[in-house]
Amino acid sequence: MKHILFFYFLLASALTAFCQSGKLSGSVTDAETKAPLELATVTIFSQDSNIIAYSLSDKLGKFTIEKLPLRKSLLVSVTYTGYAGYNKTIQFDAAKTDTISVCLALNNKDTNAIVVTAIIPIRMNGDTLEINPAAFKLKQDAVVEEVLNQVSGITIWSDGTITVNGKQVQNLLVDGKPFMGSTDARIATQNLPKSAIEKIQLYQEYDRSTLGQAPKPQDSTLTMNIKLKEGSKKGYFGKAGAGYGTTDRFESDLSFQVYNKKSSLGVGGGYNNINKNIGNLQDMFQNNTYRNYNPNLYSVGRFGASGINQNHSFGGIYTHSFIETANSRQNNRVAVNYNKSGTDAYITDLSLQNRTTINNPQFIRDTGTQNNNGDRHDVGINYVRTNSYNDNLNLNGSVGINNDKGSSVRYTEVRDSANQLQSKNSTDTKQNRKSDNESLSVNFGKSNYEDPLKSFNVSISARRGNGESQRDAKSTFQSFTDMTKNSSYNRRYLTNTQSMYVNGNLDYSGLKRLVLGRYNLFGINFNLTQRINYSRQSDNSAVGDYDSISNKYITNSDLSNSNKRELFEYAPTLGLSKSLFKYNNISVRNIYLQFRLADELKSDKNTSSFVKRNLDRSLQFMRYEGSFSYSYQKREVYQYFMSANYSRNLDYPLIDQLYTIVDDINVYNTRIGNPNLRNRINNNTNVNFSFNTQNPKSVYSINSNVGGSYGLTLHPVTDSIINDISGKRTYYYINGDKNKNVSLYYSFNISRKFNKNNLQLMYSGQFGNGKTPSYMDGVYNISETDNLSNNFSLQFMLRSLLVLNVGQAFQRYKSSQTATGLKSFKNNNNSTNLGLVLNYPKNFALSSTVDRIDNSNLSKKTFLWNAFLTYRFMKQQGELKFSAMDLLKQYQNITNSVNSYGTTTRITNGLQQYFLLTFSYYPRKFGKTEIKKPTR
Amino acid sequence: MKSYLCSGVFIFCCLFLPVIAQSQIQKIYLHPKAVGAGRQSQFVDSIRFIPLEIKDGVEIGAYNNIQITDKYFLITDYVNKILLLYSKDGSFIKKINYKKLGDSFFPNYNEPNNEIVFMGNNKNYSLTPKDALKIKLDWDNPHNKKYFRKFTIDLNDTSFAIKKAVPGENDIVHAYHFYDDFYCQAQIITSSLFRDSVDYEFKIYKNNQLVKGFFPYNHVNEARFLYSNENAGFNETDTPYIHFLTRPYCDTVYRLIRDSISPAYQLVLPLENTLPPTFYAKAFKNKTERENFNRNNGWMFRQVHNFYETQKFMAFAVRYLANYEFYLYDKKNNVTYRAKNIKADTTQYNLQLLEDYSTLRQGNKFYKTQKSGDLVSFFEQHKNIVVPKELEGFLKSNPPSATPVIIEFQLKN
Repeated sequence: MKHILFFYFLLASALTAFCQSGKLSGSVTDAETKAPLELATVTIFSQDSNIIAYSLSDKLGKFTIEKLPLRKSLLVSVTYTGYAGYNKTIQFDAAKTDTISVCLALNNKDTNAIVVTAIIPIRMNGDTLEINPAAFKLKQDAVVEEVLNQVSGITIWSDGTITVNGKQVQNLLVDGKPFMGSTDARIATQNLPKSAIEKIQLYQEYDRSTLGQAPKPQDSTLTMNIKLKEGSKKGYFGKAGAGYGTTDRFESDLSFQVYNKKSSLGVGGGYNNINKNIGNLQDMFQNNTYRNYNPNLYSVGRFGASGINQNHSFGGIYTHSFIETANSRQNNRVAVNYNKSGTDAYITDLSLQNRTTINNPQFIRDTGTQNNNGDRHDVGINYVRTNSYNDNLNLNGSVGINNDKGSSVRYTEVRDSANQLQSKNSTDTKQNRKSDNESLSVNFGKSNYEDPLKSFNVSISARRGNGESQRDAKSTFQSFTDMTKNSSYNRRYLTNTQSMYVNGNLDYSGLKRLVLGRYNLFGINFNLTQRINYSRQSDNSAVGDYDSISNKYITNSDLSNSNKRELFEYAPTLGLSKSLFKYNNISVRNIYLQFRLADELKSDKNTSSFVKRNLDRSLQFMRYEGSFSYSYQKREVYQYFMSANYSRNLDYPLIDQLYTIVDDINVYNTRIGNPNLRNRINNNTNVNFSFNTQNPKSVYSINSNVGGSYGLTLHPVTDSIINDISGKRTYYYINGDKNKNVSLYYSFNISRKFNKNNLQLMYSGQFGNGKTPSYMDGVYNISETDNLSNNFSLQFMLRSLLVLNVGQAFQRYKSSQTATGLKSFKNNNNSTNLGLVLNYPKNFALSSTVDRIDNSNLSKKTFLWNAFLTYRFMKQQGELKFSAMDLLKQYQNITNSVNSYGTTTRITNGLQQYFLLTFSYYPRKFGKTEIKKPTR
Repeated sequence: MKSYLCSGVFIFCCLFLPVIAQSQIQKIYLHPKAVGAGRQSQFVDSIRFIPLEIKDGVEIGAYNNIQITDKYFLITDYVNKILLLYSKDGSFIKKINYKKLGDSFFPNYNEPNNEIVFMGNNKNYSLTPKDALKIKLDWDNPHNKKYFRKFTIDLNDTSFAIKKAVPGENDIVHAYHFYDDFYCQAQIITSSLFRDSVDYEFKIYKNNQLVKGFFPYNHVNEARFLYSNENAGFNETDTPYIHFLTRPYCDTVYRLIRDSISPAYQLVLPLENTLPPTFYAKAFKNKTERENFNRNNGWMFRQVHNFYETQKFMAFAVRYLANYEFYLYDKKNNVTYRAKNIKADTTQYNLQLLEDYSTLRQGNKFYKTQKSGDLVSFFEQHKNIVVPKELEGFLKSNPPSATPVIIEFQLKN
């Protein structure tokens, strides 16, 4: 805690130091007539020509620029189209306000053709905000993100989201197309150099995903389009790195992307034994970007992961646009990706569980060793075609092949409150699994203002999968209280699964026109949705018990079965909605109301080799939901949005809940079905409120969100748990009376800019309360759980020199039971994270993270201190990184968690202290000229 | 032989006649990327203020417009849906709130009947462009009147009550008063709904009879108008019976003397702003293709609007495929100025007068409204500048800042 207080003191001192600054105010007028010149650009440059601040003069020609550095020679430049420019050097020696009066003379040399030569950092072009990177003098290898950091009104939050005047950027495009087929802005903003960019455009775009549906407020999305210079429309960039360290730790990462006007190819991969996540290709691209002033300090070996895992992956994505277009209205592009990934895991674990039962608490000790080897191949294709904002064709296909094999040994002991051994169980499992799955989805939407009858959206998706597995399980259960329940199994499970799923959805918004013709019915919109769903799952399980006499597996007729479930669903839904829109000089407000009524028709047919599981059910439910939303925007000041919705639907028990196939090898978790289960009724209410500032002139950016939900389920399916005297535990499905859940979530984020420095506070929290009925040893019980978490994250960025992150998370969990004899549990888990990046001296970056976890149910706190030293050379394209992980050598993989039945402390093997030296090379070329040596 | 020779000379002359005629058209050179900037006092003079009576609760919003009748100034506040009536001496007459009419109604002065007309669609019906065209073609069907709502304020009746009226033919077919008892139609539409393939961009009617049609085009599938709604533009000049006519996708400005037409000016633009020949010859496949062409070629020429000239200057707006600009052209120096680059100075009270929107021209005079707060703050900051006599009493009465003042001015002659 002292460290945190000291840090806050340092931070406050730094902020106080920043408050010592100069202020320049003045006016810009026509030299001859003294007429004020509105929108003259006033720019303050430092001696090295970096832009320190800029402002546009107001209607009266006046301007004010604050937070100017002291004791530095500054150049004031005032430009105005058609007038000769004005330049003056000033210096503030103390915190004061300086005033200048600038009189600009008309440029009479060529009144016939006055051409704009001034570089304007930011301007509105119609409804598009345009940022000119050339106006921001940064080091030569600076990336787009560093430019965006300099623009007032734009905030890059520490979680990677970008907001512009409070509104989140939802699409990032490069020359009107998603960059490298990715929706993650960071791949473009953290790789593309400023020198390759002509301009950055920000504009509102129509949200095509709502095509064919009733129009709603907030249907537009904020899009950022990075326009490349003509000479930079082809290039390549990436990273190839390899490192080796103590205790034979190693890592290698590859991320390489090449692009031209129409196509791009990205390949990525890696191999490591430091638990680093590399399975996802897009994550590989995102975690290996060129940006070095604020590296991702958590894209390293994961100490919290269970076991020691060797991960490998290799893949690529190819995108091609069949048309060359500068706007995002027209798309005709395809993206194909392939990825191979796998993990070789070795995990040993010890779990200590304190479990409550009626007047007889159990203490469970569970140890295990696992060896798993997994291998996946994933192929995907995505095709998008649009001709305008009024149509959309999207096709997605994927194929996945998965192979797993593994073995595990587990040993479990259950003791009573007097520490007497009740029972023990050992299992030895070996399994092989193969599966493949294929999916295809097509979405086509069209809206037609001129012919509303032709407005619709249709989506079809199909999925199929095959799975094959063999599992050999040897299990021995020994009871010390009832010897008759002792059991021993040597069982083989051969399972074959086939599944198929077809879903069709048709949204038709031409219904109103079809039924009412030109009649408007008070502006109420109709929407008809037809949802058709067919799914089929076939399972064949051949289960055999080993006969040591015949040395063969003898078929177990209680478990061997074949089962086929076919479900057909049809749900026509009628939606009525109305949107109200009001505006005046300063504000815009929207109200939206919607009511939907669905008739859900289901036919669920189960065919099984077990007679009792042959069940043919036809069901009909009425589902209804209503929603209300209100948004208010005070132009260029703030905006808030609130919504509430309610839905009610019915659900019915599954065949496996009614007639469960009981496998008693799972002695501590034997499940028994209940053919008398009733349908359940779900009522859900959600409310949400969000607020954000939108003042482009403010140095503050604020956004916040509060939401909550209330769920009430009548006749929920719950458990009746019987703890047998022998130590076995059996779960019976049963209907409870009602189940209640309340949740509340909230967030508050504030960012403050100090010239090129930035301070951010992100706060989020969540509270949940649930009341779940159950029976424990025949006694009715309501288990009430409360969980509360609050997370604070503070980031301070001193230009590109220093990035400091402080995070604090508080988590509280409490469970209480109403049944006499059952215990209540609670757990407090507080974690503190510190992160520091110091980019000094030139080409060096020193970074470090400290994580501290304090759990109330664990006697010892967990510390993890990692430090990194990075040096960039070879024209900023080579990087040497020294990683010192777990410097204090104190890290232990211990966690404690709580649920309704007790607390569990889990200890696993994992990473221990190691040091690693990594060399990475960043190949980069944009257009014809390679990035030159920086001149910082 | 002699007759052959005469015929040859005649044909030769005929061949060159259009060239000669064309060469007489005065050229207006416009380079959108290299337009001039200047001071407003170079272009504008005869500024006169018409202060309006201060009345509690009478204010104007950010978006307003002015219209002038023989007796009244009509100021429309579009955001608050309020119409303010003032007499010509600035006395307040009435504040008329037309919010109850709905969002699609705006007041327009109809000079022949001396009435204010609110004409809009009946909100009980939702019409597509195709519906609107079908109704227009079947305008005399009494059932079709239900799709429209018309309200009027009779300015001869001092109660100024909003009264419901029956939409007439001219309202439905978008015909406007031209001169005397002549009406004109300037809407240009192509559609397969038309049976007759020939129509004219500009038509003059008298007593529902077509008197004259100018510039024929294919009513069904004219390439340059397909999937687009266009209008020919006509503007009165200072001289009665003389109008300027402008056409979509045509760089020539025509002069109409009653119903006689002749080319007057030709706008000359750089190649990058000029539509390619294929635009006129090859039709777009669909509306989307046309919209994408417009978006990708936002600075290509579309039409001249609001053309007006004095002896020294011409004022006109140019609509490009996705942009709009207002210009002034100095006839003597052949320099085009962008109105946004023309800045007011203190001699003209820092009032930006040259705006295309919200400015009304009547004869050789322009009118626009200004919030009194702007004038108050100007004279407070410029104590050395003499307050015009017509404003003295008004400013001393400490008007609320959003009280309107009418400014009258002229382009220099």
